[in-house]
Amino acid sequence: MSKPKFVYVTYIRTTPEKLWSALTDPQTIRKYWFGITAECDWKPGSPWNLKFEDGRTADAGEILESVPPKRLVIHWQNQFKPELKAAGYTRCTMEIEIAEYYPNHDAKAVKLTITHEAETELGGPMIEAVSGGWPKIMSNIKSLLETGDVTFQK
Amino acid sequence: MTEAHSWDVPDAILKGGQSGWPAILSNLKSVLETGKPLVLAQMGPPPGMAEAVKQAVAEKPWLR
Repeated sequence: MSKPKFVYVTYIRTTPEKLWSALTDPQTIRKYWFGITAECDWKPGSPWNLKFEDGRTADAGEILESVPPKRLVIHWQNQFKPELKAAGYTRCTMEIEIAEYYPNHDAKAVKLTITHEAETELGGPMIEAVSGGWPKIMSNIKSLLETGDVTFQK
Repeated sequence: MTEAHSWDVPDAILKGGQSGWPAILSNLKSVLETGKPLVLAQMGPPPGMAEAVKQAVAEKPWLR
């Protein structure tokens, strides 16, 4: 049995620097993540927490890798649902690239790849849960960066 | 939007969809929300895909 994994790819009309900022700035995260935001200094080894608006911790972990504006790896465990917390740690990798088909690097769009994988075979429920969330969050990030507004408020 | 296949598609063919659909759907979303597509050059099929399609059609005439 293999470890459950979720992969999502989207292309956004923005720059790697602006996308990195959207992925790491607490005020921007709150706009596209349905009120949830992150508390983190985004340095390797630092603690990472996702917080609900009321201050409860949604998810927690640490930064495994951080290479602005290209690559972020988060060690990630759910905290607020016992059945998801029991699924153990997952690893979320966010990769930002210049869209590969540009003939030169005068890019007007970037490719964002989210790979969220379980660390053990017990991680299925957590990967299933994030598989429902990531498409909405990614849609919102793309809309926010391209139009200034999000698709889903909640 | 979700898409699915009704037969056991070989990896070499799936790679075409895996690289193509995210670009197409991202473009569709940009056109609908901003009126402008992303500036994307033509993407070719990934290595080995054309051969895998030929082989699949030869082995499964109902795919024609």
